[in-house]
Amino acid sequence: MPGEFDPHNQVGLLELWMEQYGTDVTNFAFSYVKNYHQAQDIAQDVFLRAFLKADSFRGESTVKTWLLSITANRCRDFLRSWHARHEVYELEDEIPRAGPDNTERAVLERLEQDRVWKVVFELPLKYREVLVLFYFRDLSTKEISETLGVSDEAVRTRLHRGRLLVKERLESEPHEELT
Amino acid sequence: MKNSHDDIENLLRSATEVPFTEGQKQRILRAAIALKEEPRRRPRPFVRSWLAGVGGVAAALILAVSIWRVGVPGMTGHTNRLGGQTTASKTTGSNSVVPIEPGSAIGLQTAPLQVTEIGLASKTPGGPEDEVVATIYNGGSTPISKKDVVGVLGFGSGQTLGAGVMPTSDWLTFVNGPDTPLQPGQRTQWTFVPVTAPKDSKGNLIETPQLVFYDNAVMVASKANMTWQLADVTTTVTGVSVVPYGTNGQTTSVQISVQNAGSVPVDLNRVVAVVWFTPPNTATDFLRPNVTRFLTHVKTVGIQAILQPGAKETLTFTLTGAADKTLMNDVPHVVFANTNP
Repeated sequence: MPGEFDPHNQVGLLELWMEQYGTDVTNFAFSYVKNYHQAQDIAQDVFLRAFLKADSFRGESTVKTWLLSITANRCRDFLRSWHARHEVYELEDEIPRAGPDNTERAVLERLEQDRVWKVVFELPLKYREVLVLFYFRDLSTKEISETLGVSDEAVRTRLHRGRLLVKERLESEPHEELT
Repeated sequence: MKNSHDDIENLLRSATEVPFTEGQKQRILRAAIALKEEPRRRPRPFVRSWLAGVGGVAAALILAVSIWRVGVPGMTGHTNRLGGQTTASKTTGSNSVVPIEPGSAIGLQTAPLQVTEIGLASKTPGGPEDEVVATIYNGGSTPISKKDVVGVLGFGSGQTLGAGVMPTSDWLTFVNGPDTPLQPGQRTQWTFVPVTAPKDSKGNLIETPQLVFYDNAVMVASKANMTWQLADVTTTVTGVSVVPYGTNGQTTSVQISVQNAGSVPVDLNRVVAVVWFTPPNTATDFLRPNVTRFLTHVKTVGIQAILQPGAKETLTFTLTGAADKTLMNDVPHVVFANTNP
């Protein structure tokens, strides 16, 4: 059962966690770092840290919020790093212009062209976090509160303001006015 | 255009999903299995019992200007010790220790411990070919023990050892010599399980192993038969943390800032990093006995691989090995050596 730690089957548990929450962790990391490969690296780091610390997981939160909480911390650390503060990621920079991995290229191209991600990336981080967890990953406000370590009320406020900001940005898009 | 509340919610839910691929899952599992199994490896004669390199966040290097600092963001585990700025050359206080300076060349002398055969085998009956087995021979005139030599094991597509293991290897690690002294003229079997080396989906090692043993001290380049050209970059170690693993292992994270101090670009894909830890105020180099050392390529995904003159980059190495209770009291050093001297 997810959330229960079996010390005799740590690898099996890790595999289960990845199957169930790998996409959640990767997408949440992507929403911070705006870079597919960096998000992959952070996801790997998150799962290995969880694997090493599995016996310290006390079940006070769900595995999902525990993993996403680790993800948030790792991403914040990354954003504070020298590299993140001095390098600007652009999705198009990531797209391999040649190479055999057409699947990866297709994913990167879809992400580059995705209007929703573009809008979300323009939001301040505190709104981006809650919108991604609520709308993209289907967490409740209580789960988001546990993940981010803020009150449920703060989560609801940020959701409301985040939605307003998204609306403002969508309405300011020139091509939207034409459609 | 007016966007209703529902329109916005529907739009937000329609974002392209970033995939978590099966390939990534398998990579993480392999790294986790390496973490889990390595400290519990069964005792084997002549087996080098540490491993290096968990994938994750990764990195590169060049010579060390080290600052050991507390409280590096994201680092977990033991509290880091405060320490002063140190250069590798300053730590080499003894006249017998060759200074290690960015941009300089250092010498390594091939040991008389010869590798006469090398290949792959299965550590478990019927299992994948996951173990390197070599026949080593003492071609010298005195006994050779573990403390006398340091091995470099690499995996690559070529088998040319004329310029050492580095130029033709995709994956590298330091390894130990024989656990028991090898008398002159004596040969024995040497084995090592490289848990993070390139493997296929069934766990078979997929590249050709190469192994060479060097004497246990860095030498002046002109007096040795192998030269490592160090990249002209400075590094600042911004954090080190250790996470215990099991009863016998630990994972060490080393975060560095690296800056190209020279006048030509440095390609991080064409250097290897040497990370080593020495007791405080001890004059020593990375080949000396009782030094904890790691050798790794630089992972350049997500970073600028070509470091222009004056440019900086932040790198993190995640290195797993046997438990070393003194490591957090030791001084970290990082050096980058060109793979094509």
